[in-house]
Amino acid sequence: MLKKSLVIARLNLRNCNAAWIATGIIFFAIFGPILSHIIRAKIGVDVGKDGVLGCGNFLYLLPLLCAIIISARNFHRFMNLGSKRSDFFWGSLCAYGLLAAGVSLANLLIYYAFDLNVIRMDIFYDMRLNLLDVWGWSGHGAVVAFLRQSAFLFFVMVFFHTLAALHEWWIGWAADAAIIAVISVFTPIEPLRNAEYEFFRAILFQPNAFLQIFTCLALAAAICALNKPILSHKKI
Amino acid sequence: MIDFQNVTKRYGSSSAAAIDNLSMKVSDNGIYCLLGRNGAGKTTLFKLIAGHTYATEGSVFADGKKVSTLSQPDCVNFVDTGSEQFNMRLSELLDTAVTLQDGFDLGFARQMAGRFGLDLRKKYKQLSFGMKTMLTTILTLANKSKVILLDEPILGFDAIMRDRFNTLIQESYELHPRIIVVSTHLIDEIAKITQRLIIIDNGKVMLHTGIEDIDERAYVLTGLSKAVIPLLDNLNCIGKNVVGDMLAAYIYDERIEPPKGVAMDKLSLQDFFVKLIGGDIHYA
Repeated sequence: MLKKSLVIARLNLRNCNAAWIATGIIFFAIFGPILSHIIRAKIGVDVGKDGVLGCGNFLYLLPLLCAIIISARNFHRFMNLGSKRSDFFWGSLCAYGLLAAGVSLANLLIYYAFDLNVIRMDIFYDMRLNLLDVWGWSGHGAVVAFLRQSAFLFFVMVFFHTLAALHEWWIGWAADAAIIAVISVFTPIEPLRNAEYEFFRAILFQPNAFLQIFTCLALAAAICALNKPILSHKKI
Repeated sequence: MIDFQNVTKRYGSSSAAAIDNLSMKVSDNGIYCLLGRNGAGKTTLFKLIAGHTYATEGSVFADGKKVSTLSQPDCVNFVDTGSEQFNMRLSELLDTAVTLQDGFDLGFARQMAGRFGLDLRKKYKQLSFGMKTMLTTILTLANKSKVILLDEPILGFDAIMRDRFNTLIQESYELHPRIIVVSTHLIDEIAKITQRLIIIDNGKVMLHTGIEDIDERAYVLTGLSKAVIPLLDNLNCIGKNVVGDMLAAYIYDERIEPPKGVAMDKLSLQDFFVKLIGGDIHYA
């Protein structure tokens, strides 16, 4: 079971070329200008001082796209190789766990090695924005930030995996419409906006790291439970 | 081994049934030929056995266990024809299949690939249509499961490949006696190796019998119409061809002693199938 799951996880990560390429292009499209800005500033060119968004944040695109590709395309490939649905399910969760940890680690490395040390606020930029700071994850050290970010990314992947799986039926498109409607309707109405805020607070801004990690994992587990009947009805 | 109990399968609530209240048991080992017209329900039948899709009504059992889409039966191996694979080297695909499929015989798979002339260094997308079918066939047949389902396994094969395929099916069966069901439109090719025959039409089983039964009971009577027509009164005539005064009557019944002027010939499996399913009277 574990061996099968790990093989499926490895193959899943290997066969998401579109996700790797798109993330790579976007990452370097952001990273290149920052580097160029710094080099030009170092050699004395007046480049002005703008705000900058940490390029590691753009790595979040990778888990998001991978979850969609794995659910919508790789599923069929695995079934065609004689795999079982349940093996695919556990293998995909393994892939999401590994990817969440990997992206989280990469973002943290970029944050600590590049954002904090190379992008000098006093010299090159007026403002440096990184989601780790925005969401308050960097306040308790690298390990806690790693765990918080990994839990959040894992939840996001499970959510998008399930949403992509639903698109075989009309209910998937209805779910998209419902999500858009909830965000659109909830935002202008104060009590609903508060509910929306509480949700995002629980998964992102929660000051208590343990609670935030627990909420993300609990939500991921609930979505996983929902995923099983969806998977069982998915056409091969 | 395989037991269909009043199984109906509909795709969509208002559509006609692809499988219509079908009850059937397949329990003896052997090479089975599943015949049916396009849309008769052959692939759906396979998908139901393999747990690739669920029955709208009724139940399918494989090796005594109820088949469901979430717990697909371990004793069944089926890979749909035309199914896309990961774009990896074929050797890697086979190595992966060893891990993913319980009872996958890598040695036999490599041997099959060698005999089909399949270059295992090639990537999947570099393969021709026939070679892709070949790979699907290898992935299915190399498994030691008790039930092997092959859907159009020789689609796109040339005559030599088809002949090699027949040999391999027989070798595979001798190596691991089990239920091998082959669905194909190249009927006379598969007739050389098949032991039992299942014919389905409009989602129902029309015939489930041994191939020797067809050899024995399917024949054609040819002669002048006035000589042949009286013979048909007590025979199960499944089709007729009329050419002027001559009549060819296709029979599926006990053999008779034909009178003088009436010839009796063996009916090929393909002709038998064509007449049984679409056995109208044809005038030329």
